[in-house]
Amino acid sequence: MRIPVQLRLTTTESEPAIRAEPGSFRDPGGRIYWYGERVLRTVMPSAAQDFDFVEASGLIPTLVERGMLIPQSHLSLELLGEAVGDATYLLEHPKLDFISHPYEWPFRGLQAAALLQLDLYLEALKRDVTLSDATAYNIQFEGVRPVFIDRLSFRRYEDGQFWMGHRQFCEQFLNPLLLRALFGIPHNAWYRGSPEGIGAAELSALLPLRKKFSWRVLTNVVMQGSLQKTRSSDAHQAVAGKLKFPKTAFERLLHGLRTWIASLQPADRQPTTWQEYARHNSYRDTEAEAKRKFITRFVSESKPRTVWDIGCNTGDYSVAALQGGARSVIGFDFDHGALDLAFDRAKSENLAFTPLFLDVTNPAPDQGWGQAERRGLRARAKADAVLALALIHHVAISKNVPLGEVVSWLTDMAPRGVIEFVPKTDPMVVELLRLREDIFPNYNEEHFVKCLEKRARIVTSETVSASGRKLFAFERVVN
Amino acid sequence: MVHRKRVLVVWLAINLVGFSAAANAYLDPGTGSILVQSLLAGIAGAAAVISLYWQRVKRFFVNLRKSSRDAHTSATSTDNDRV
Repeated sequence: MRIPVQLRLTTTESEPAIRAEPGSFRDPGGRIYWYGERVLRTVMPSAAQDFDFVEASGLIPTLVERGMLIPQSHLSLELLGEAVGDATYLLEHPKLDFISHPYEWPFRGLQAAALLQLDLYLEALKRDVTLSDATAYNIQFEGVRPVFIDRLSFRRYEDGQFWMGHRQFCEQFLNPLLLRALFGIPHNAWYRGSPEGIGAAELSALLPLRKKFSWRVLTNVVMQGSLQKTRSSDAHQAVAGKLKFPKTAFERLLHGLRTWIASLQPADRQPTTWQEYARHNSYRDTEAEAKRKFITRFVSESKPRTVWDIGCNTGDYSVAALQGGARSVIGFDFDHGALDLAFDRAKSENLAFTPLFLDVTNPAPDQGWGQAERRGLRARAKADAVLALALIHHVAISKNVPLGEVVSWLTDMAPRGVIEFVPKTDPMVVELLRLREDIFPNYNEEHFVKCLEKRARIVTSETVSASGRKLFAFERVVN
Repeated sequence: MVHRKRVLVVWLAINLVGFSAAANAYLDPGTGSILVQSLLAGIAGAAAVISLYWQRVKRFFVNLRKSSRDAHTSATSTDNDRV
């Protein structure tokens, strides 16, 4: 994550327009602006005093050095003129390759993000700094390492202040994690339908009595949920008083949550189908090796910067892409067990590989305020190359999506890529069709090639299994 | 009745809390969270008081043991002197 050396904003005729990022309106203390591909942040007068305090505390360089916070550099306000209003400061941050949402993170990702959020509080409190919120959308991933992206969340702390972000932390981190840890239900579908997270009262209503007796569950979920129903208008009539939330109690609460969250494990009763896939798939090691070599060669020859691996499973071919020289790989899969394994693998091998949840037939949509606050997958980014290995039979046969549409979807995603065609003779496809009528007369290699050639040039192809699985490397010709 | 009780609890808590946290208040912390934190603060306070008294109790017994051991040691050394 480096900031470009050239920081002066040019004023040529080709100067890109400045536009406000639609997802950054909540905190009036500042706003994110796009200046072409560059990411700028304003600090408004209302937040300037806190900003100065935090700068003077020395916290920011410490967090940046440890990789916990995105770097920042100061720009002169004059460079942007009136476009940023009466801002006090103007900052620039490096642009991230990909923005992901918490409802796309696997359990391990949300857990890592929660721990980062707590560590930020604990580190900040040492210097009398706190955070104004605790939203999961302020965290992004580089590989599987979470990094905090909102400099303006840091505010001056005074002993006795209440933790303003406690409720948000519970709704956006703790409760979604507990859903999987207590019930074995992944958070993704609920979270996506409710982008502010899962409310304490809702989770509490699901808890059986015996699970309510844990002190942590009782205070953070059950009591918070039931007391939340109390009318706050009565509270606001109250006059300022003397009770405080002492720093020691704040730190104890943060440490308690940290220990608890670090210990959470998914409560799945048995391994998911695809977790076991690597062991029980229908092709042999030599065939998998042929596939890996094909991918590594494809990447080393076409040199994509970012690769999207659709249906990444535990990440075998994402790793092959990295070995071929890709700078980063975003892996997508719909199997939570496989994603958790992929996440652990990327962490232990320190890979630039981010596994995310995706149902290919139902990707994340544009949603939130103005349907622009949280962008859908298509609007957020495009890859330099796409991999779709052992994928299209699941989409074309299990989900009935016409083969031509699957090919269009994949070739729209990146200007080049590799698609594996799995023929009807393959045991996996035989299995898919075992209990249902074959209503797919066009599902064959000839038709697949015809569909692909409408959109792309086939650069090379190679049969990689005895059952006739074949890889096609393509380069898109239509836009 | 229950409702009135709740209102009283909240009124008391927020009355006591005051608005020292208002500096960061673009986010609604939620009454549930604030009340839980008030409770935790109360427990932390109570724990501090109990711990203070416990230290006193401990010190009392430690001193008691120490003084009896001192008495014993000095008695023994006196015996040794006699030999």
